[in-house]
Amino acid sequence: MGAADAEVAAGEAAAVVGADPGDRFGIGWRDRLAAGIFTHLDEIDAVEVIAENCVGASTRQLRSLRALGREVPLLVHGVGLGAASVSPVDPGHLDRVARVVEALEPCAWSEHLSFVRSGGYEIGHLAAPPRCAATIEGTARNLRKLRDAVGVRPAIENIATLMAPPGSSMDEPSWVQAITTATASPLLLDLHNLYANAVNFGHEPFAYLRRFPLDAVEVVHISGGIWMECEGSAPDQSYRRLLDDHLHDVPDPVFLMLEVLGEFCPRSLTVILERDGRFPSMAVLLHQLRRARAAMAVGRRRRLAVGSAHELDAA
Amino acid sequence: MNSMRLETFLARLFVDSDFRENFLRDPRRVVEEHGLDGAEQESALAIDRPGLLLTARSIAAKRNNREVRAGAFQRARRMWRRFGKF
Repeated sequence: MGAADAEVAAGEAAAVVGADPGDRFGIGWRDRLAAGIFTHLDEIDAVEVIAENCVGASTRQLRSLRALGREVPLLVHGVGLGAASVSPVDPGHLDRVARVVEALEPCAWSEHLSFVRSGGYEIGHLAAPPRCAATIEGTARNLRKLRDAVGVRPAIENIATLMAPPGSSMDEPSWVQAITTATASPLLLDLHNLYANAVNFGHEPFAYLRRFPLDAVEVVHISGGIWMECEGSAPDQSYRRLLDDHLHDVPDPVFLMLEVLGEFCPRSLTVILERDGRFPSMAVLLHQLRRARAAMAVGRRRRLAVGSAHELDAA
Repeated sequence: MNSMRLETFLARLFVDSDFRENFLRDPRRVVEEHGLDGAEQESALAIDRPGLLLTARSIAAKRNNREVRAGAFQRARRMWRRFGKF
């Protein structure tokens, strides 16, 4: 038995002690994973569906997903609204996402703190806007529109960036904190995004994590990535950045960060494993979910042990 | 500082390779031509160049993957229309 397996076994054995029964561990819905998800619903507590993948879906496809939602809680995740921007969200796109939410009747929905288009340029990817007062106000305006269209505020997700956004007057944790405070939105904390930004821009990942508004976290994403390199201007100069690509296994530091969330997040959490390609067997994905459960249980036990101390700190 | 102008400038840097190459070759001229004001120009000139290059590469790869998938889908549809009724 490897160290990770031993950790999982110990976590499972101890999970009944201290685990928050409200915590859920699930996976992102991808067509390639459909059979595996249906076969292993006994180990999957929640399924997250990409909203844009359901736009234009047939009534039959939507009915199938709604049927899945009767077996396991569904979450809807938007990837294309570009809410963190001084530009208003595209009302047509918002209407389509709202229809998906209405059709699937999920228990929660979410969007990214990113911009995806501006001035007629469609990026086709999540981009980090300048972190400043103007984008906080723009994001708050857009999130009000999202709430009005859907009826519920989305949880907002921190994104990974390979580039420090120019025109920023604040760092990422302060900017995210300011938006959650201004909008009262719950936070979807993507731990691999956070980890990548920390290592790419010279922050100690665990100290960086503690600076985010952990009391607002309701949903957590875990995933993996790969290091990219590019040459610098000098011949012997090169730069490395960690890309969050959802094509690789969840790295160990992300599981350690889950322990921290278990300790410091007061709310019950829904943890979603994201995998977009290079799909391993379902057994590998379920093993990562078990590791996530074990890590969270470690954190929850720590919270039980020192919970009153944290509450006193917070007061 | 006008964040919308800066967001548009960034979006164009990410997706327009000629614009990006011109910027990397002669940044001052490009930021002036784009109509950025003093503070915006300053932040654009101090841009994280390795990060910009990696971001552009990552975005291009994603867009390319999507186009390849869309192309395969269209080819499959054409094949189905042509032969699917047999």
